[in-house]
Amino acid sequence: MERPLQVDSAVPRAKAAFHFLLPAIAFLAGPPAAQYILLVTGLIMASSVLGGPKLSLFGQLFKAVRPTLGIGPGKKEAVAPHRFAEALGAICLLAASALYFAGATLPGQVLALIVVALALLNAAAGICVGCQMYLLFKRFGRGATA
Amino acid sequence: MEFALRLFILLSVGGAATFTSFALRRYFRSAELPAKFDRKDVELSHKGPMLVEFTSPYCYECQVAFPLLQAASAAHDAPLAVIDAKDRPDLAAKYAIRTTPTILVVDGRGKVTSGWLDTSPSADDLTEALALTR
Repeated sequence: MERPLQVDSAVPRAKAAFHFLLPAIAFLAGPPAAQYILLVTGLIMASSVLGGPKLSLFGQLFKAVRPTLGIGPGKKEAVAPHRFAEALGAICLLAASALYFAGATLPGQVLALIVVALALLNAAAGICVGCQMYLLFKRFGRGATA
Repeated sequence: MEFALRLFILLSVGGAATFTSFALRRYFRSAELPAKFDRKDVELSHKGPMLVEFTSPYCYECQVAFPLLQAASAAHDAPLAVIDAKDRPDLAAKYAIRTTPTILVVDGRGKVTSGWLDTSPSADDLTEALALTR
């Protein structure tokens, strides 16, 4: 499947709103609902990372409501850092779900809250911490091979 | 954990994240293009228009912009000066660079006629901007 190299900056921010809302609901709901909400959210994010925009449920939802909300096009950004950030989020949520299932509720809650905070940062202000981590790794990788 | 305690924790985390996001957003929003650029700062004697890119080590968008700027520089005889804000904090402070890339289009008299903050222009944008400097 052909992957676009750039993404409209409004899309990752809109997806971040879902990445904030659903783990927040899971945290509030507590077990046993929490582990299933986190699991489903993590799987949706993982499918977006692995399958691209066509398999991004949150992205497709945003595209469907975007005209109604009157949100215009954003600037184009490189997609790789956002995909990396989403992958990190998916890993955290799937790990949190696994911890809940294993009975380790507190570590699961901590992981979920980390995703909530970072997703809110992205949704509210467009500050993508995962993207910055991607750039750091790229830089160190370049330095290691130089 | 009680629901009330979870709600309190969630609101605290959410409040801290919201405050941080707006504080940082205000900082980046206040970034503006400088009005002028002194080509002596990059030791350039070329008299015509020029392009300036302020970059930083973790700036992916800067890497995206660079080949476009190089191509526009060659096509329009406008030298390109790339300034790493980390290596030249004096120039970053002089021109109040708050975000990277900051890309400037400078005319022959040192006036910044257009530019881009935190984004990479298209080839058409650059052509149009350089045409305005003539």
